[in-house]
Amino acid sequence: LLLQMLKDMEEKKPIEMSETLLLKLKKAKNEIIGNRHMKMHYFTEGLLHECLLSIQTKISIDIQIQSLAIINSFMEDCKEAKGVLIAQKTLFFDIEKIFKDNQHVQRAIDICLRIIRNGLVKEIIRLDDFLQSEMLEYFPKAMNTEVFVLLISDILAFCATTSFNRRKIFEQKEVIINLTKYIEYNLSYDCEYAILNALSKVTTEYDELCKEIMGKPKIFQIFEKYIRHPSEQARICISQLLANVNKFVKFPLSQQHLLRWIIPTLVKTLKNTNIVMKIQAASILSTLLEANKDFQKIAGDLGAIEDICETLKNLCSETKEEKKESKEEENKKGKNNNGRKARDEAMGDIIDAEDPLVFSDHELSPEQKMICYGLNTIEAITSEHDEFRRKLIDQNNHKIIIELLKHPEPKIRSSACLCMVSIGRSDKIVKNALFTDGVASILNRLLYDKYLDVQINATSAICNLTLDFQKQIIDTGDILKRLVELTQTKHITLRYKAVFAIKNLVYVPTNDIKKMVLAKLTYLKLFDLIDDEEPTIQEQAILTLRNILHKRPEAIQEAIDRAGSEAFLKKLDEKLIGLNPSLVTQAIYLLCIIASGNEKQKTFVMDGNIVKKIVALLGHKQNIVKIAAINFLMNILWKENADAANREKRKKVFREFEVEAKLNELIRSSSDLELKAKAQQALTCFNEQDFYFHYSLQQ
Amino acid sequence: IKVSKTDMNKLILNYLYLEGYKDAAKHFEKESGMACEAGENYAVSERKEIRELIQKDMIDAAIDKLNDLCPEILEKNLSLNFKLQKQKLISLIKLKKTEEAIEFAQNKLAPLAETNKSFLVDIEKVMSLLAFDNPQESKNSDLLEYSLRHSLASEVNEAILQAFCQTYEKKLLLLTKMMLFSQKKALSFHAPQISDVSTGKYTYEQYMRRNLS
Repeated sequence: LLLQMLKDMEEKKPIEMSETLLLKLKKAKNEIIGNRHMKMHYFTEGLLHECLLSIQTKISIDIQIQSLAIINSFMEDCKEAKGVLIAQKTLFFDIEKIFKDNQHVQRAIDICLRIIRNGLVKEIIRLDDFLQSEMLEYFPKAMNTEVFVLLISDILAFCATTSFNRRKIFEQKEVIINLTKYIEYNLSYDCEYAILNALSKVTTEYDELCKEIMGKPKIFQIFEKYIRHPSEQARICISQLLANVNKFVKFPLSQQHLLRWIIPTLVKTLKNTNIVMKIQAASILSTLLEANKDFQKIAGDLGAIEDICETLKNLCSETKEEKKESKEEENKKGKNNNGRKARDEAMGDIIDAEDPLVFSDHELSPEQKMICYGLNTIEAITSEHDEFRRKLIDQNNHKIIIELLKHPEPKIRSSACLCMVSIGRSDKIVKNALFTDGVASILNRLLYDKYLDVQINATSAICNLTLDFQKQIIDTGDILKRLVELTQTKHITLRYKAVFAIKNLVYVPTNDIKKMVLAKLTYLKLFDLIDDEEPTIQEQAILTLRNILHKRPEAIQEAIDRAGSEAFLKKLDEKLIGLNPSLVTQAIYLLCIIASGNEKQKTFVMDGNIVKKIVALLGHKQNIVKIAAINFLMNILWKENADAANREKRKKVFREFEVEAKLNELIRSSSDLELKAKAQQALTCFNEQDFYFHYSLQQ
Repeated sequence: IKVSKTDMNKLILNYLYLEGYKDAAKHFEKESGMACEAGENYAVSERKEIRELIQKDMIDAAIDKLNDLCPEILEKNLSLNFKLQKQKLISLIKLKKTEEAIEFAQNKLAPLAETNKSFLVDIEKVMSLLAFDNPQESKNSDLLEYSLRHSLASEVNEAILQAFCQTYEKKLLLLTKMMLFSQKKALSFHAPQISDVSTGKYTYEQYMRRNLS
């Protein structure tokens, strides 16, 4: 009878028994709520289907509310109904219409909000449909009772999972501003927690919102209440909010203990068996520890690295088991794995890629997220603290990170490379363990990765490992060849990292290594890099040349000859008038290297334009430039490897530019002690007399 | 130690409103000249109605009102849902509607026990009442008592307040708990102990014993 009445309603037949229909709907609703058995019974009878149709027809709001309550009940504990609900593409839009048309009916708002929340959480309602609708515009008006605020907060917390979603939510600022207003009210725990949870998800990127929150007088009381809350989930929630706010707003000194307090909570949660909570903790830690040495130390001392590595090992062994099972299944089916496929399976989708891909927004599995955040946290903790890098190696925990460099998921490979960048800041003994475990060959492989970020981070890792291990790097595979290739890539960051790595390769190694590098790199490419469009690359290229020429007069001459004297001078001349002080400084230091060469080379750099510019740079506003210019003077006037007569000539040239007066002025007026000391030393060079020269003069 | 009349009145008003005794609370407000605090009287009319219906053993009507107020309370609180259904079964047995009671137990109540085995034990206890012509003679006759309905009504009342983010913990109850806790701690000082909270009777045996010694 109920279903017949609903059908009549849809076919717009006159309804004489709407009151009876309402009673019958209520009875059905009362029977199915909390009773799975009755739900199945009514489901097979078609009640859900009829209710879905009834909410599309314009009938009494009471009947619609009852139908919505029935639909809401079917969302809970009824798998069979889920498919039907998902297939109903108009479900959300029907609810939206009822919500908009009945803003004055509290029961309608209540049931609509509940059904939207439950629908989103159970993936029955599409998140995109919700975000693209106008629902968010209506929310501020609906936030007039605690329970509605709670429901809306839950909806927002669920939606704010990606940057894109958060942007959409933030477009409706009024909803968020209302939430920040309500945290000051004396609300129930459930409502307050829901608001804080929503804010913790939404504040990930918005400094304006964080400032708004920090401006609330009672906010620190609320923080204090929740950081010691008995519920671990509540503590995690507030930790997220604190970490987000801390990114944009400096906490007052008296409240900074709050941030320290949450670290033990987060480290403890890393031991939790619930992977969702572990992921949250690792994600918050990686944000909080970024560039904060203090917090890194606290987390490291609490054993965060050990806990994370334990989790990573467990996750990796689970994945191996799954892969083993699927491989056995494939073998049973008789599929033929050729060598390349086996290699690719081991290393992920690595192929020769001249145009590497950028990461897509693809969603990682919970296990993969845990690995990524775990690696990011290890990277943060080991970035500034050598003791934790040592400990990592001593406990053999570096092996799991090396293993993860070969993970099939590119974002994990990228995070593992960044971890290597951090660990690679260690001293030689510690780095040796990495080489022993084959990190170089794996990084070599990653230089050819399909994804740009992986290539960039692998190159960064090589940059750090290269110092002290130039020979090992050059002997591994074709790292050098690949680095040189990458100096020609169109991707600026990758090009920069490649040049940086090569610069480190030629930092104080043997001459043989310098020659090997030069043989691959060539002066031509290096000079092109000195003229790169990107100033930071120019700087690294100049540093590379400087390292190559250091203490090698024959190399200096070779460089000058290859470039052509005039062209070389012109190149350096241009750099000296650049706006980038860092670049100017490096150009001067390159001149210093040349000036420390033989007489021919000293004469080469005493070019009129160069000298004029160097003297002018003694008055540069940046002290690093002034110091570099003074170093040039000292190198060019250095007594030990100079011909006395030529030295005097050079002094005379500088005296014409009143260099001594300028140096005296620097000593008198500068507050920089290093600058003063250098200027004094340079004056000493001027005043030093050559015994043999004066003897010959006297003669 | 002075306790102000205003504080006492507030505690009583808080108790009356949170328990859903709307009429009593309104009268008390009038006589004491006090007003309730924000949230205390939330949905008090509905809560009063539902309480009365449960206490009168009109469970279907109570469930209907409850689901109208908030359909998720019974959906999420399976234990409360079961207790209401169990009370309905008891009322059918009291009205000697044996066949209806058996059918109800089989079709509506037993499926609820799929989620919680302890519910089966409760169902068996209630069904044992059917074995007696006069259920009062059963050893489970306490199931027929008014106090069960009263405590069920209080539980439903609390669930409603919680579902609507209102405080459901009565301050009077909280204070009583604190008093009993403090009393326990004060045992070591041989302080007088309240032996009966409902009457306020206290003993000072240990206090006397200490003084005599």
